[in-house]
Amino acid sequence: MAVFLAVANRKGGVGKSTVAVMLAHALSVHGGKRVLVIDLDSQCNASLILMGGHGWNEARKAGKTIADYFYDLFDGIPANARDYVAKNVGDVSAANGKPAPIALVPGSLLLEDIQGELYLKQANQSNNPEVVANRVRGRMESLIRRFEGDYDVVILDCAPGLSFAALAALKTADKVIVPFRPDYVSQLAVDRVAMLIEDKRNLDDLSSIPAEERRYACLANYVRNDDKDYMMIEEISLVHPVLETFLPQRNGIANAFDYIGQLRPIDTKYSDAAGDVKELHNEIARMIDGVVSGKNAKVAAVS
Amino acid sequence: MSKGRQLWPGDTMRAFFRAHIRRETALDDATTERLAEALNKAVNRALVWDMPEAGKDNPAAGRTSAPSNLADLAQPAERRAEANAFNPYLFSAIVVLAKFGRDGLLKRLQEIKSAENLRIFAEAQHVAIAPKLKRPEDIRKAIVVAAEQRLADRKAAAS
Repeated sequence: MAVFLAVANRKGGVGKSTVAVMLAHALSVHGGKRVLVIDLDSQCNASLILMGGHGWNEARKAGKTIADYFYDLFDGIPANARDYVAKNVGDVSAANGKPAPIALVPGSLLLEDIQGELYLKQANQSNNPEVVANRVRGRMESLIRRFEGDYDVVILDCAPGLSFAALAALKTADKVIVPFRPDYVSQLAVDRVAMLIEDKRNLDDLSSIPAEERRYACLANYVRNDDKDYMMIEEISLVHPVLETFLPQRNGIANAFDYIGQLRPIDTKYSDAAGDVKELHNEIARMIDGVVSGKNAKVAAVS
Repeated sequence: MSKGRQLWPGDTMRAFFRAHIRRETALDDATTERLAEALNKAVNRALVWDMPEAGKDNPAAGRTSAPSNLADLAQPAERRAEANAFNPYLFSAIVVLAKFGRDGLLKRLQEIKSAENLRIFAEAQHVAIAPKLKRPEDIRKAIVVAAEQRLADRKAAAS
């Protein structure tokens, strides 16, 4: 039974793909988990970081991207979800020297077009736009869930904005990680995505949910070592649960975008940020353990 | 972009703490590791960066008096704060207001004595006050009102 982690924020440029890939590396190497990344962002940054340009292009040519997956399986055409998964991606080695167990459903530039097409297909069956939108989102949700059996953790790298795919990811996720930059504009973006995740209409209603019961946690990213940034994080913590781990501005994180096509240890890849990656892993691993315990308790209660 | 270069990478720092904890205490491995991580995190939030020298490319640095003309006032709050050796991020007006109410914020603002520093504080924290206000007491009250407005604006923007 996989744990679904979405990495989302309606705002762009907050480091969603960087964090999604960092979590994949950390959970697979430090945590020994079987990880699947589903790239739901048509910018395809996570795919480029994990496969490089050449590998991603090959996946596109072969019709093995998330857009192909949604399109092919949407109407129930019998196809194997596993065929759309690229295995052992990334340039990081596990402790045994072999590739870290990370798989990827590659992103596609066509994802937005495909979503429009699927909407139009459904629109033939109902005149109510809300019903049509719910059907598309619901179908995507069930398609995302198909990968549940093969992995310990499924990471959903969401696009900024509110596509059907992003909404389906938010609905599917056991936990949502919301990266943010510590500035005033980001504060409003975090408020909005948090209300969406918790299905609340205003900040007062959101604040009435105890922090430990929220389905999301915020992650401060690009943190400069100054009082201004820490003050901003404190302001965001007034309303939202914020992870203890902050990701500072470091070369090791900026350079981790580069796919070199050769395996290397995770500490080499992240260099001066290797400690931050471990800290983030430890905190997220505790979060995942909590989700697993909750799921097991539910199963036990049912049986 | 980074403001500086990290001098003490995470792993090196953690190893340093781990070694010292082991030498000075008889704690078990798990506790040692936890303590080393906590110290690592704490130090990471303090200053372990090689910061650009203050004043090297900042003509305002080194000046100690309050700005005396309009050109000075037009400078960003951070630069004026540096000139006054004042930290406008010492506390968050919004956080204090949310946690301790308007009286709590007014009390906390008493720590800032001069009108100029109160102005710098307001600007840096995005709580707008009228430029015509001169007396510190009036500026403090205006900061409280502006902070309340900012909290209300945030709620409105989210609804």
